Amino acid sequence: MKNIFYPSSVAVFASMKEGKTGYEIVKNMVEGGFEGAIYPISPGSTGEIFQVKIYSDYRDLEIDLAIIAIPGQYIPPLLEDLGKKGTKRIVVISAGFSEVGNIAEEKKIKRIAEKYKMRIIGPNCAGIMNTENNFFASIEVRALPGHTAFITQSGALGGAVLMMAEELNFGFSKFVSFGNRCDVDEIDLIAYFKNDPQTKVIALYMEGLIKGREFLYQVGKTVSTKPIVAIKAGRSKAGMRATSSHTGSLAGEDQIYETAFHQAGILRVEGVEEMFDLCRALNYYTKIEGNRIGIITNSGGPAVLAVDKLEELGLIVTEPSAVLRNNLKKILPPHVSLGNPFDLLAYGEADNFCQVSKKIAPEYDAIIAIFVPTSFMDSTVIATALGKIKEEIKIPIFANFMAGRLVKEAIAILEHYGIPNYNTGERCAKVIQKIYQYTMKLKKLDNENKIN
Amino acid sequence: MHRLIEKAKGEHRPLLETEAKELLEEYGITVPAFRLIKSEQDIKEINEFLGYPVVMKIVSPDIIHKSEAGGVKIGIPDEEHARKAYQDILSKVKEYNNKAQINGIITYQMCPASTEVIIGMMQDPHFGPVIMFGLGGIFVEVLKDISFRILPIKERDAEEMISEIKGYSILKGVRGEPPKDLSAIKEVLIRLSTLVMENPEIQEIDLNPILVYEKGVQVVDARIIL
Repeated sequence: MKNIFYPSSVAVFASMKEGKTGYEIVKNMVEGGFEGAIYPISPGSTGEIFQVKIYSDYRDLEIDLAIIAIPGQYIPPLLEDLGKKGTKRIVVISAGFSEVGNIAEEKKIKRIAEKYKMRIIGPNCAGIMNTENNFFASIEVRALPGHTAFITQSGALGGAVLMMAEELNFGFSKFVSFGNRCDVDEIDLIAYFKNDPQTKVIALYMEGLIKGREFLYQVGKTVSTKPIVAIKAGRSKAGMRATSSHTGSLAGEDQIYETAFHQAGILRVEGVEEMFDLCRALNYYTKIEGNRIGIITNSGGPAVLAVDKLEELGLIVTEPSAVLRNNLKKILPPHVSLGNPFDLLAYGEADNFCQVSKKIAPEYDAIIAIFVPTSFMDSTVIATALGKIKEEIKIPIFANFMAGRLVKEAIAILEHYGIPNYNTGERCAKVIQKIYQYTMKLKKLDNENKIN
Repeated sequence: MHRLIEKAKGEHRPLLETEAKELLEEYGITVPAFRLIKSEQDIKEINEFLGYPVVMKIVSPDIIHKSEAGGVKIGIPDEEHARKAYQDILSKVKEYNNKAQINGIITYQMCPASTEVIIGMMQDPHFGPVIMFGLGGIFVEVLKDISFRILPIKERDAEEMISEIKGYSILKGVRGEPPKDLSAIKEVLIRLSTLVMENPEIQEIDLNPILVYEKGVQVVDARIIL
C-alpha cells in the first residue's frame, strides 16, 4: 500500500487537452511540486504540458504508479499491458462502472488486478494525495499539509471537503477517494493509516460498507493507536430487509451502524463541519480523562451557552472545592466569580486567565477559555499567554474566542500553540464530549484485553 | 450442527416453540417448565410436573399466529378445564387450517405478571448477528426504546445495553417498586450471544415476552427462525 502514496514515477493516462482530467492532474502534480518522474501519456499527442514531455507511447517507460482517466472500455487492455510491464499500483479515475450498473466491466478490472497482483484504487474516484511528498494525483484542490488522513467514498464530497479545509487552514496527511472500491477499500486504507507516521487522526466519509465485520475488526485494531472519525451518510434510510421477526422489523439500518460504530470506538459525527472540529482537536488531544469541565470567561452569556451544551451532553460543570475557592480569592480582584464558570468580568486580563487556569487544573479534566475582546483588552495577548502555559496545566484546554475578524489573529496564535479554537462554546462542548467518549472507550477496551 | 436445528432445517421450518425452549434451556436461559401434551391422557401429568394454573398453546409448524388461530388458552385453573381447553384448541385450529400438522399442545405454568422485556436477534447483511434489547409492550411498539449490539457481546456490553434504554429507570424500580433482577437480564443477553455464535444457522430470534422479577427471569415465549 505504501508505494501508492510514495511512487517513484507516475504515468497519467488521459487526455491532456486544457480543462480535461489529465491536464488538471498533471497541473496539480507539477504545481504541487512532486519530485518523482511524471509521464503524461496521450496516444497521438506530442509536445509538452507544464514543461513536462507528453508521451504517446509508454512501452519504454518504467511506471511505478499509473493514474487512468480514459474511457472505460480501453481500461482492461491497458491494465493487461501494465500488468505485463510490472506496474503494480493503479488509480482509476474513470467513471461508468458499477455505479451505473456496469458490474461486468468492473469485475474484469478486478480479475486483471488479481492476476498481476496489482493494487487498484477506484474506479470512479477523485484520486489520491500525499502532502508529505507533494504528490497530488487528483483534479481536486491541493490539500494543505497536516496530520489527518481523509478517506472518502464520494469523490465530489472529497473535493468539497478539500476546499472547505483550505479556507479553514485545515491540513491533511493523505487524501484518498476510493470510489467503487473494486480492490482497495476502507479496510485496507485504515490498516495502512494506522501505521503511517504522518497520520494522527483518520477521518472517513462513507455511504455504506460491504464487509462490515472485517471493517469492525480492523477498526478494533486501530482505534487504540489512532482515533477514527466518521461521517456515515444515509441516516434517514429505513431498514429495507425482509424479516419475519419483531427484532428484524425494529432494526433500522442506521441504528445498526450507530451501534457498530459505538462498539468499535469510531467517533461518529453528523457532518463535515463537526468532522473538522473534532479532527482539529484530536490533532492536539486524544484524551480527556474525566467529565469535569472548568470554564474561564470574561463574559457571562457565552459561558451560559457552553454550560447548557456541556450538561446536555452529560459533562459536568463542577463547582470548585472550598480550598480552591479560597486560593482563588487570594489572587483575584473582588467581585470576580469564584464558582464555575469562573467569570473574570472586565478583569479578564492575560494574567488572571493564566492564574485561574493553573489553579483550577488539578480539579478539572478539561478547560474552556472563553474570551470576548473589549476595547481595552487585546485578544492576541490573552492567546499568547494561554499558549505559553498550555503544557504546564497538563489538562486539555479549548478556546472559544469570539468572534470573527476581531479575534482572527488571536486564533492563529492559539493554533500555533496547539489550542483548538471554536467560535461557539457549544462546538467546544461537542468536541470535548467526543474526546471524553473516546477516552472512556479505550479504557473499556483496554480492560477487556487485560481480562482476556 | 445442533440436532434440533438440523431436524428443523431438514423439514424447512422454524424451530417449534418446544424445540426453541429446549435449545434455550441447554444454554442456561430459564424458561417456565413445560410439557408437550400429545393426547388427553397426558393431561394427568400436568398436576404432577407443572401445577395449575397453566397456559396451553398449539405447537404446529404451520401455525405462525397462534392466538389468531385460536390456539392459545391462558389461566387454566384445573384438570377439568385443561381437558376442555385441549379439545377446544384442537377444534379451533382445525377450523383455522385443517391441513396443519399438529405436534401437540405446549403446557406450562402461568407466570405471575411482572415487567416485560424483549430480547431479540437478527442477521444484519453487513455486520452479521445483532442482538436487541427493550422493554416490552408500548415501549418497543410505540416508543422504539431499544438498544442493539453486534454479537458476540461481553458482560460490559450487556450492561450498557440494559442501561442505555430510556426505560432503564423502570427496571431499577420507580414509585416505590423494588428493582428488577438486572443481572438475570444480563445473563440472558450473554447466554443468547453464545447460543447465536455457536449456531450460525439461526437467522432471527424473538424472546418476547421475558418476565423480569425481583429475582430471576422467565422467557415465556420464544421464536427461533432458521
